[in-house]
Amino acid sequence: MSEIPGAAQLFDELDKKLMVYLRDGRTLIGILRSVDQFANLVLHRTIERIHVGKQYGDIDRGVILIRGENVVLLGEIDEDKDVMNGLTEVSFEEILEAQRIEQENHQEQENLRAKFMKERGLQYTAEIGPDDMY
Amino acid sequence: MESENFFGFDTTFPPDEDEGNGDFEDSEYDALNDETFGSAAVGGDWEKSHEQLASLTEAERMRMSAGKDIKNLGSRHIDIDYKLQELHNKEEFQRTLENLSLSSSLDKKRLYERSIASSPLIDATCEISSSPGSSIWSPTLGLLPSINTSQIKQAINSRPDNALNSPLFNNAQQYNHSNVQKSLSDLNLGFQISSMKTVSEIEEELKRQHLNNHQNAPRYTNNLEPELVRQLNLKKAGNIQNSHSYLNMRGTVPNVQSLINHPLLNNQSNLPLHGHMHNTSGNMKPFGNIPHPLQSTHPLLSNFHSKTLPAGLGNVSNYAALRHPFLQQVNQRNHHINFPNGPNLGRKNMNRNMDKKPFDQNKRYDQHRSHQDQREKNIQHDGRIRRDSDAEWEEWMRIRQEDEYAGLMTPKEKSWLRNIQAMQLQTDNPYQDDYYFVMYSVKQQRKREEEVVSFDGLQLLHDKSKEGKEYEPPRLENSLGKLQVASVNAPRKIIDLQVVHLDSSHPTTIFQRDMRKHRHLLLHVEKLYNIQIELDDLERKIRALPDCPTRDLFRSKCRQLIGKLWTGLINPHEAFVQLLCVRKGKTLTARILSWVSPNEIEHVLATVIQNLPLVSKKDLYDKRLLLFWPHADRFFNISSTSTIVSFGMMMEPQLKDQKKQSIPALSSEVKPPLTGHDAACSKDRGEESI
Repeated sequence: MSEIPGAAQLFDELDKKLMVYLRDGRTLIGILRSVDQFANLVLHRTIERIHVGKQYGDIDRGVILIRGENVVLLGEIDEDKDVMNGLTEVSFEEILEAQRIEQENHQEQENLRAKFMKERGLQYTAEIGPDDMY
Repeated sequence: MESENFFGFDTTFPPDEDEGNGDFEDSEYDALNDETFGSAAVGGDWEKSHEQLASLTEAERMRMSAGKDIKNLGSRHIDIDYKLQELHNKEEFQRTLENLSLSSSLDKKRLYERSIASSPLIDATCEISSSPGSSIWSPTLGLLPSINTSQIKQAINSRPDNALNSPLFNNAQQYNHSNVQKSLSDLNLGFQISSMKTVSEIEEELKRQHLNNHQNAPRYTNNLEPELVRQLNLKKAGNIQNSHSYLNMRGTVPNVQSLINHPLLNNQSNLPLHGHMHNTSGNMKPFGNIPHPLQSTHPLLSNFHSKTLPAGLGNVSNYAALRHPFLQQVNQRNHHINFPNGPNLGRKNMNRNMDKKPFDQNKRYDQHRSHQDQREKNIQHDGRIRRDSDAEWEEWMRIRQEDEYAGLMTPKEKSWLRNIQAMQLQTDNPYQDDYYFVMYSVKQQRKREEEVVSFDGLQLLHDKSKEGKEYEPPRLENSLGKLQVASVNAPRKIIDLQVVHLDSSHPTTIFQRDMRKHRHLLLHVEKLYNIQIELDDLERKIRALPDCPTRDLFRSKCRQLIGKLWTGLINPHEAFVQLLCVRKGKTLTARILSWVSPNEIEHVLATVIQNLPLVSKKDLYDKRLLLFWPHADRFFNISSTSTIVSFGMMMEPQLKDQKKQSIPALSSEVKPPLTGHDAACSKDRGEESI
């Protein structure tokens, strides 16, 4: 379909329900409406899906414009297979709460780790976050 | 005694108060604008009304001081005192936030003074407060329908020297809910006689207006309840992901609106203000921009129904510059929320931007465009790049019918983007940039054993168009695209030009040969068209002339031209068929048919029918074959049965081949009328079998 051989095009993904994973770790699911040369994306009927453990929660976001450089990957979602196997959907307050707790725990662990290292006279720096990996 | 102490506050006028008053006229800050006074004050002569107000209040004060309500007044004063304290505290809080938000304290002071002083009502009350038995707390305020007493209180209390000992806080988020709630409730209860009337009056008006304007509001309250709860809980949860204030705004602003709508629909005058104060304060908390619950709602109310609310409120919106964008967004959101939803009424409509209005005046696509405009725009830009993208357009049209929001990117836009991407792929040293792909494509080419053609991509041959290109645009690190540069030697590719060699010794592809033939055909059509135009001119001249020799001359010339045209049209029969595949050829033929005799018409129709599948397929988009219909109709009316029979026979194989033929052939609109007409004619003439 494309005029450029050997290249994948975002045109093929237009008007499809996609899952977009961003550099800051967010997952957005929406219908791709428009793209441009920088791969900026316009998503329609977007939801942000947060996964914590076996639970997930959706937050409605509406129409979103994503700057292309923040996208890690995107993939098409098969409507039929879009059944969360083994995952339970919860309300978004709950999931945010769960996420907060998870992050708190993580933070605590980090602090513990830092303290541990400090006691032993070593310097502990936090690991690279998701954004730094890209 | 009264002059020194006004319910516990210092009433002596500090020296800079006057300065403040005098200052505002010559400063850069225009205190006399709409925002200061509100729309109510702009129209009228505010100075006069200010004077009237002053005299009114003075008169009332005199009356009240002599009346029997002194006792009540006294007790209320105590109450008032307490509330004033509360208010004062809040005022400090307000002030400190001001301190936080604005740049220099001096400017803030000025701003304060100006904004307060510039309001006519505040001036009046300031004056009044200095006089004994201050009238501000008297029930006379009930006479002033459009004043909000709390505003006035604040104005009075906001003296420069009072700002100093501000309470407690650094962070807006530490602001105590219950504190506000309590004080507000106290306020409301305390001023039932005078102020509650006014406030409730306002509420009533708002309610009435609201019910009048937005009849679907009840539906909204239902929708919004869970949303409301959710958002409240969200705030409570201390949402970590609130990095984007935009998203925040979006989430909470509708709630504010809903809150205003919601309680106003209840028929309780006492609760609502209190109720939604609480909630709005709860909601506004995380922003930090919206300091004061009282003040935050009033601007909203004032934006909502500016006519009913006092002029004095206008000055509030001047306080924090930060609040303005919020207000505007609220306004926009008002429109967004209070009007019925657009086409796609999903489950959670509010956040799904049905009405794509706000925030985006500069954006060309997406949001500003309504659905209708979208369609029109696309139709206007229908590029009609026939050969390559016919299928695309068809697909596009089909998709548009299925999903209203689909097809935002027209094929034109897609091709534009493809061109850009193709340009970005062009390189001077393909073997260095992408070796493996180049080798792969070389192998593919050798397999295909065709002449090497340069295609949009990494080129193997040295592109002549790039010979003079020395300048390489700068490449930025970590970016996704190359900068696009167009120069005289390497202009941006706008049209699809290909190198054409005129001598046939040069090898050309089939594609190029086809292109050439097509162009010849079009040229031919143009030549015929010229003749046609001459013919039309002659015809006009003939009609203009009376019966005279020139006319006859013209007539004979006409006949000549017709003959020429006709021969030119049909002579190479295959050319004629191809001509019928082109839009202009069809229009030309249709025009000629009106000049020509039935025999010729028969010939044309026969050709059309014999080549029906091909012709109708090509006709799918421009549908010019329909132009033949009137001629066909007339012809069949006058033609003999045998002709009709022969036509029927011609069509028979087409009908038989239904399964083999492409659908366009059958769906061609010319064919069914023809078949129908044929059948009708033959029936009329009593023919038994065709």
